Amino acid sequence: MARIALRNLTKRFGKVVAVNNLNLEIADKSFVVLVGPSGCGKTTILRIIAGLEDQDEGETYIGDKEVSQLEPKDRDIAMVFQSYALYPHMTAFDNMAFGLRAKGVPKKEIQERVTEAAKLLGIEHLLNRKPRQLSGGEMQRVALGRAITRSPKAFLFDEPLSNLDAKLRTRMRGELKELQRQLKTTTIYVTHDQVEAMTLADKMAVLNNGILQQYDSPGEVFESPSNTFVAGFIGTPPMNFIKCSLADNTLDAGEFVVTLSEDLASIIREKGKDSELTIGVRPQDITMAKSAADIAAPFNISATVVFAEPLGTSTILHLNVGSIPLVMETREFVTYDQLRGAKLDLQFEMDKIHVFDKNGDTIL
Amino acid sequence: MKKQQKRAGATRVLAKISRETLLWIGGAIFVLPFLWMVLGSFKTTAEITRIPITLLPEEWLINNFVEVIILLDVPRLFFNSCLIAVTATLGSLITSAMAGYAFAKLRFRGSNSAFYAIFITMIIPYFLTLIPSYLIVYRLGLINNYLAVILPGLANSFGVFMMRQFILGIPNDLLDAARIDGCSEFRIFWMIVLPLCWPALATLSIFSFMWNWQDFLWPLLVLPNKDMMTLEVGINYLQTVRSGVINYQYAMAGATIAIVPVLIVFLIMQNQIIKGVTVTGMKGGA
Repeated sequence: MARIALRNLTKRFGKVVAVNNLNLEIADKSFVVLVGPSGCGKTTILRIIAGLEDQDEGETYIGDKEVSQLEPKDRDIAMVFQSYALYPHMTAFDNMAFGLRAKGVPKKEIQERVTEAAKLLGIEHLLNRKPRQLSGGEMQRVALGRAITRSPKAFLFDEPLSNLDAKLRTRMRGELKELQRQLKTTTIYVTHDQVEAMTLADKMAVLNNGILQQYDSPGEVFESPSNTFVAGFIGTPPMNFIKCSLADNTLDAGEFVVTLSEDLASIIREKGKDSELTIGVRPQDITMAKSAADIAAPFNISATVVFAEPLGTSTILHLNVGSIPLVMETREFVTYDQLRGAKLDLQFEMDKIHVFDKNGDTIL
Repeated sequence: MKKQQKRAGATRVLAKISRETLLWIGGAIFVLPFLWMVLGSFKTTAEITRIPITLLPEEWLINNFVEVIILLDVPRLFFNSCLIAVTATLGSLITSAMAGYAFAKLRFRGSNSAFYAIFITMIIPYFLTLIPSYLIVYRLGLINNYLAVILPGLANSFGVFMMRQFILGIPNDLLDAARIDGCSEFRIFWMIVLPLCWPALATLSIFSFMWNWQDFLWPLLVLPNKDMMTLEVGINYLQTVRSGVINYQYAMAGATIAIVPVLIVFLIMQNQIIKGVTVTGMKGGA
């Protein structure tokens, strides 16, 4: 149990900067998720914390110790790999006991710790089996057990659920979160799946191209993304981005305009300097006019349906407003045929929209 | 329709017969020399060299074997061959596995060049290195010493190559997990890598043992003493043991005795050997 801090961490592979001057503080006992697309550097960061890679610049702290010079085995951390990395020629018990045996822990204590971990994970009946006799989910638990028996200062998870089928993944997510709460151990979890990140994290670190984009609770990241990358990465279906410019109190997107209040308009004017702005609006925050009475401002966006994806509880509509594509999600269930080519009048929920400046950073 | 089926059936039977015949002929070609040797060990030299050739001996001369055991100190020679073959095999297993692991999984400068250098020595013919090697062994004062055969046998470029290729297939995650679990590099090698390599190790040990057991030229050069000779070299002496006349019966009897351990090893490990030949495409040899 310890806090982990990364200061000015940089790692290069040849010309590629995998991790770019990263500063991150991970609180003791918290569950932090590193999330981002493939190649954003999240696995590299994890491996640097573990000691499997050396950083080029910067410092790594586990607890209060600077650990860059320490071997992985001296850092008192445990890792769970995407491929589980179970020793194929040993039984589940031996796999879980391996680290303890390497440290010279007495036999009796090994027996106790392994059985305790096995009980926690519900795998006592599997202890005598070899990895090839286990299912994916069972191997996953043994890999977890191997990490738990070590009672480390921190758990490092590298996309541990990626190899499981969807249903099992969902179940394991819940179990993992509950396990971490019980064990009260600092956890760093790497994934490219933003749903996993949202459901598991106490705090999320969103990364892109080795640069930290935002480090906040899932709620904050969703509600107040710091730039277009974060806004577009978190949330399904992804946020709509429409280019526009500020004209008086409206945002002019060419095909339509969005009216703003005085206050909002002046904030934008101050920060964004009028032009090359982007409106961001989530598909869930677009509503459609349901009756003739509604068709008046503010339902002033005329859209044509291109196609619809009925999902059961909701429908995703792909629309065109003139030449601007838009995706919206509505709770009404309609069939494809009913809507194809239909014309709808839409409005954005004004307190939910985001405005980004020309660099992609949030103004609103 | 029936006629077509009948013709198809007949063709199939014909194909089968011709396949089997070919296999039998091929098998016979390989077995015949050994059969000749084993049967010859019960004959007299005159009978062996007689034309027309007789297959089965007129009289089963078990005395041939007795004479061989008297003429040669067979137990001693057998012990020599065993000691050399087993020690050299074990040694080359260890060095090949360690080098293979280093080349496959450890990152260090010059690893590629070093590996290719070792790899290229496989191309050098055996006979080219005979004289330089002899000079080295002589200057080290190792003539008539077991080490003269064991030491050169410890480093095996084929072994290094094979182990490296095999170990490349071990997932890196496994080694990382072991590092995190608290293993030193040696412990990783000993407890994780070696157990996972056992098919390659088994194949290598067979090739190595068989090569070392049957090696004739090198032990002939460096172990000339009668009590230090290997069995293969000893058998060669049987040919000229009585009054300069070439004595096939003793040679054959001796050769039959010498082949027994190899045969036993083969029978026990035949599955592994066949797998090894098909995988590496080589019949063995360092």
